Amino acid sequence: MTRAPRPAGCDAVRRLLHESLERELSPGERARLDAHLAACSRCRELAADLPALLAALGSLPRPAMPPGLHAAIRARTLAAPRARFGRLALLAAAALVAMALGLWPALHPPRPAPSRAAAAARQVRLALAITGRGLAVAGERGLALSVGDAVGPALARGSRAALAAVLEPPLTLATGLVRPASPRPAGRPREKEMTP
Amino acid sequence: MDDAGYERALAAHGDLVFGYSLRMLRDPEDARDVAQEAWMRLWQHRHRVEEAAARAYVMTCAHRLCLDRLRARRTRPRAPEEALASLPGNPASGPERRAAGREAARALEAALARLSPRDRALVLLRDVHGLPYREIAAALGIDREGTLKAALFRARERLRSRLAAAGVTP
Repeated sequence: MTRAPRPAGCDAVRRLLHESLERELSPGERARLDAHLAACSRCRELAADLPALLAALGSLPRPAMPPGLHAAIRARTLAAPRARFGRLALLAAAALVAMALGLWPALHPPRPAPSRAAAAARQVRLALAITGRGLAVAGERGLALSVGDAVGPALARGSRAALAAVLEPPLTLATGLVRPASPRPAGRPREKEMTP
Repeated sequence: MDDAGYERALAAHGDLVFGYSLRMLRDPEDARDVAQEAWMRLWQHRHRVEEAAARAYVMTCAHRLCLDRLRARRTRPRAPEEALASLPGNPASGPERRAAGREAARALEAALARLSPRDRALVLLRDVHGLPYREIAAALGIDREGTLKAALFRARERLRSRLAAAGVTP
């Protein structure tokens, strides 16, 4: 079946047709619509069908939520455990960590760095204690392994006399331990003295 | 919006969100999931949503979630009539539906199901659920009311054409 060609202006008038189902058209709009419908069979058909179509759409059933869906949504929202407590717990934990970090330096003050001579003496004492023998019988090798700072290599290269000079009196060998050595005078050329 | 406002919104619009999702997706399980997720999103943002705007917000969420699901499927909705036939309807619309005739209603549902998601959304939101243009524009992300109306009118006419092609007169 062939349809008559649409008169010009169908689109604009069809808009008026839809609008007429929702509001009252102005007299000018109504006259324009009526004039177009009188001349256009296709728009007349649409005008006849549209109210019935909208009525049918408006009367379609509106499905209700299936059983349990309302309760399931409530369980995840209104009835769910509140995150407020979780946030508070998190804040409390963060505060505790911050306090612990802040108190750590106060509870563990940094130790003063030992002087080089004292460190050397401790190393020597340790070496002697390990070997269980006095300086008189301690070999250069043993001392070289025991003294870890700059004195060590010098000692390793020195003779027993030089070692004694470096460690200097007072030395107490009776117990196999060395008393802390007195700091050497400033500017004393260590390497020279240690060379036999 | 406080908890009481959320509760009122859920009671007032719960069926709307589910019913819209069901007609968009034609799958009761998908519709259920979308409805839950949409209400969850409103719950998460309830403190910055006024109670008066709750319906628009949750419908916007539902619409976007439906589009996501439809894109994931990459197919047109399935089983349009059967998906709706077994569901409990609004008691108030029961007599109206009987008056319209079961067959005509099924044909209309089928024609709706074959519209594009955008056309279907327009017709559902305006002509089935009667939402105001302002809320439909928000849900569909359309800025101008004139653009929205033009799109809705075209969607109605396409629906009418599909019904006519199926030999059904509204």
